[in-house]
Amino acid sequence: MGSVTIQPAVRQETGKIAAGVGILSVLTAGVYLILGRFNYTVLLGLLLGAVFAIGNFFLMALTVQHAAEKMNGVQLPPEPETEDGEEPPQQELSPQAKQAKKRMQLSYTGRMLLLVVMAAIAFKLPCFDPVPALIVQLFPRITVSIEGLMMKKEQNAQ
Amino acid sequence: MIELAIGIILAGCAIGAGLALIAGIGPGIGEGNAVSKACEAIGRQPESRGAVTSTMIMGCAIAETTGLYGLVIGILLIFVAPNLFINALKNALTGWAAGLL
Repeated sequence: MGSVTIQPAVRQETGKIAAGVGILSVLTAGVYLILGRFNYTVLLGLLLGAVFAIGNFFLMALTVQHAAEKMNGVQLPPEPETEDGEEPPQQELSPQAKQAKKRMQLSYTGRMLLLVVMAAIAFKLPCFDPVPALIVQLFPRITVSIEGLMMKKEQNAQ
Repeated sequence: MIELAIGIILAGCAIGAGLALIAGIGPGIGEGNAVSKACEAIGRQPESRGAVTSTMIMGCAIAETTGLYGLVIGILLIFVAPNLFINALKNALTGWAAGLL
């Protein structure tokens, strides 16, 4: 089994998502505290959800990295030029791209099954509150949206 | 009578959960298409690998959330909703019976 080198892009994006998930989890814990419903099950649920959300994102990023690495040394011809407004003719996917597509779809299915297992654990074990564990799964998307907004603001400022 | 009502609630929750999980099909197909096209883009312009990989990761994360929404709704319909609805039904029946007496 060969070692996997993690690309800087994957590390950077996972770090950003981990930071976002962490901050939003703390905010969620604060909301529970304000509502007077905070206890150790909420904390454990948040931890379980956060670990799973970050792990899910990391696995997805690793799959993407693996797909990109498959293109090492592959040089495809440029797309044929078309006249203005014309759609380029549909070309058949290269074998590497087809393999990447299948791998991504397989990875997606596997990660969804893992999420079902995580949800089942959160619901069945009394030490986890399932609601925060499920809420945390939506935090990566919120983080990406916030990051996009911040980038837009920076671009507007420049 | 109440058994029939509970059965309808459970069937409704199960059907709803199944319908919610249909939302998981689209992101799988979409992610696969996005990654295959991005791989082709890298093959055509290898110097853009870093930028394409970053954009692809973010795009996949966004696409995946749609499936997650469906899955979370499905899980809630299986684990949470039946008890919630059955309790509401029992409370309503108790109140109705108390009104009759």
